[in-house]
Amino acid sequence: MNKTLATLCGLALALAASPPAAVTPGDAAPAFTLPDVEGTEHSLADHEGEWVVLEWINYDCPFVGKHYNSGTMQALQRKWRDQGVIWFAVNSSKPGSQGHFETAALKERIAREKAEHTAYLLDTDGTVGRKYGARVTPHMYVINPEGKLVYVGGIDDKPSTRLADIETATPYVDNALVAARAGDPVEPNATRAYGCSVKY
Amino acid sequence: MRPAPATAAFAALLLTILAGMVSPVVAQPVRTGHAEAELVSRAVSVAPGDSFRVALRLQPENGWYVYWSNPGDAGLPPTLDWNVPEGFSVAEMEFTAPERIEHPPFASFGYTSEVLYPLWIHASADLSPGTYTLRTHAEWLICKDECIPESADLALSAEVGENRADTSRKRVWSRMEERLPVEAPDWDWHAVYDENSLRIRWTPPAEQVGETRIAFFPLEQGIIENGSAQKFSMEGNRAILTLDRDPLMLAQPAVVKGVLTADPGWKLPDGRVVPALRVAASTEPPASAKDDFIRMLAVLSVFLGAVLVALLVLRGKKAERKQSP
Repeated sequence: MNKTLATLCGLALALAASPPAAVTPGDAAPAFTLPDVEGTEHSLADHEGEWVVLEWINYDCPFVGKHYNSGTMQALQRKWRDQGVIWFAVNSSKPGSQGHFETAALKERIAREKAEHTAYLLDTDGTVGRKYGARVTPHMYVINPEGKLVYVGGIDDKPSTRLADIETATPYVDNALVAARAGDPVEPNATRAYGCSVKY
Repeated sequence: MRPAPATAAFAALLLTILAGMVSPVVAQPVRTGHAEAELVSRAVSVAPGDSFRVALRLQPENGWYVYWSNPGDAGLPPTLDWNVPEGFSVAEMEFTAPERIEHPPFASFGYTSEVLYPLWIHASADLSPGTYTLRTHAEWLICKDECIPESADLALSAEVGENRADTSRKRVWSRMEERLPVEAPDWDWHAVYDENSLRIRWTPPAEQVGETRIAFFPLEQGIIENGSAQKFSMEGNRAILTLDRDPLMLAQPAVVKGVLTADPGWKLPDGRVVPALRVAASTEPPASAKDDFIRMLAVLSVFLGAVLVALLVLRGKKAERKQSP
């Protein structure tokens, strides 16, 4: 009894104190099961043998806005979904924080943004975000059909809120998908993601 | 002959317009959604060939903050896009010591109250005396729980003539000067990377002022886990600050550069107590450790030499005994 209590206390302290763990390229992508805005559950395991992209999102973050107002994120989603890639937008905003919407408002916002993701997943308690070490929005992860991470980090290399910067930026995620699917090394396979902090 | 009323009115209007065009630009603070922004200058006028100090002044609304050069886990430092007349050259923006802004499990580095981002402007020796207007487009990110990009078009009047200082706003400028990091004294700075941590080590002089709340702010991103608590300890006369490394370990420079702050500050050899030091901690072992190692090698080789001689002597004696009948 004492031992269990001690273990639980230790675990609680560890969870409270630790920053999100980070996964690095080459690691197995952590398993997850999350509901989408319609209530349907999606698991990473459902997509064994497929390419999966995770996009940590917050529609009200100006850095996410840069990629959505320019239409470039939606175009990227459309391009890769057309090639059979599964694209999940994941939101880990806690209720009441920026980027968290009630269901009706969220559906309306998704439609207004003309989003082209496979599904928008709700990670309201932040468990999955922490497992992935998602720090900001947008924070991107590319997972290969073997379930391994091939890219972790930023959407591109221009940390700004200026739409004009997208044109001259290196599109890390797009490049990673092209290279990995061709069997070529992904370079760089880990970059610093920029954006608004995830509202755990 | 008296001019007609219409002509007089026209002349008056023309004079007013001309007066407006010639009068110097007065730097007014610009109010944005959550901040006050302006350019401030330390010079009323500058002599051709000399430099003068200018700064972007930002005053965030209560509860909001702006960023340091390395913003930490999220954020962007301000940028200035200058448009200056020929003969003026603008140097890089500098940064005063930042604060840690905690949003567990993350941390950002920035300023929660009025801040000056100073820089030098040089007036060429060829400049003719007169009043010139320097313009800049300032952009910055200001955050509370959410972040909002803001901008302002700011202007400054620069008079070229004699060197004359602007003595207004002394408090703001002296606070800025206090908080500009000072190059660290040679306290034997050293950086050690472990699998999960980065340790910065130094030998503080005996006379310090009981510094607390020691914090290290790296110039580069991707070295440390910004939100982790930084642990200070002493090992004999060596001070150690232990930092968690960034899990992705995107950066691992051989020389770790950053700003080290403490409350009330660090006591310098000249007696000044300053709140922030500019540190460059090399991963090369410090001189003292190298000397100890060499000394140890010297002692070891003498010892081994002695052992070798003893063995040879013993061997020789053994051979002698064998030979004697």
